Amino acid sequence: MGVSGVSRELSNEVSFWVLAALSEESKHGYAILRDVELLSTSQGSPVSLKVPTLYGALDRLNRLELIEVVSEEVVDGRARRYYRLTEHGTAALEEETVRLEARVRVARSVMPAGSSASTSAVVDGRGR
Amino acid sequence: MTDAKARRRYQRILRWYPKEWRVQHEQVMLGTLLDMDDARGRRGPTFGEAWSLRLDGLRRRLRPVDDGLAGRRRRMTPAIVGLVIVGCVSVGGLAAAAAPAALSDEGRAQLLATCLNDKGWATEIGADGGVAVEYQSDQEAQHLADAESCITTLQLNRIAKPSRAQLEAHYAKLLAAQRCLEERGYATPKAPDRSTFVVSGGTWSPFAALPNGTAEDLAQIERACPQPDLQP
Repeated sequence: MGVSGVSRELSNEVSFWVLAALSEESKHGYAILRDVELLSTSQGSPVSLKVPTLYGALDRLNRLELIEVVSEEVVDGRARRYYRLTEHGTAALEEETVRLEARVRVARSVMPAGSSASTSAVVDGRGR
Repeated sequence: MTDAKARRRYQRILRWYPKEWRVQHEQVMLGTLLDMDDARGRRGPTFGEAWSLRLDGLRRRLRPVDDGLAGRRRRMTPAIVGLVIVGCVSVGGLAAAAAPAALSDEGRAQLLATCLNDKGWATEIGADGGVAVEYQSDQEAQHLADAESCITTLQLNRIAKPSRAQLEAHYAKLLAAQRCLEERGYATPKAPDRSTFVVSGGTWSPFAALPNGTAEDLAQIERACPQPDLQP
């Protein structure tokens, strides 16, 4: 799948947040789900993921080689599969973020003055 | 529901996924589901979650690769696709007569088979209540469209909603469990009134605020105060 497949995938909000959650370190399924909720909470509308949605996104991101499986282990009788960003995934997340920032700047520049709601605090509020 | 019981319940639901998928992913997804239960202080899926899993499994049977792109179909070799349909149904005139919740699994499978027959597919109902359809690879897109249409018409994803009476009975059991937990010193979230609980589809649980702990801690709490099961 080419570049357009990747940018289309990144425009999917769930995929974007999954990549963002994985940009810190490798994580397993539930940790990704939890961190997607935590990260997206700071944008004002938390993304609450169902497990099938998460695994659908992980499948697609894996197939696009934006993420990869690092390891699998069994903890307390539970199988865990750890994923991490590939170089390609890191670059794609960076590109998408730059694109979103540009979009915000343009929108901001054409909006009448005085209509600035709080939009600056986006990704940093992990709250833990 | 105990940890082992929740695990079995999830395993039953994960049988909706195709075998090839289960070989690769079942244990990992099961682990994630159980991790999520721990974090939320409960055991087993809600109705909505159970159906979200079943439908996802069904979609993967019908469209083995979820590439996120509508309209792109992967070619399949001639295959038998078994659909296990559990739920109640309304198909045109058939529905009105039957009280949905009263239908047996066989009755539900029969209705799905009838819907597929009407669309020209030969079906066979298996001993497990599944509906098997045989088709050639070049019929796959049509089969998928027809099966999805039947599932929509049958309101599969709405079927799992518990009845008002089930929710009211469940509410009473949850209140008893709440008393049990509080007598043992556990904090519980405030109960909504009964009608709010019913309208919300039963989203409140006194088990939601239990402290994080090991599976054994939770199992111990549940031995003292069993978690009622909403499944009929």
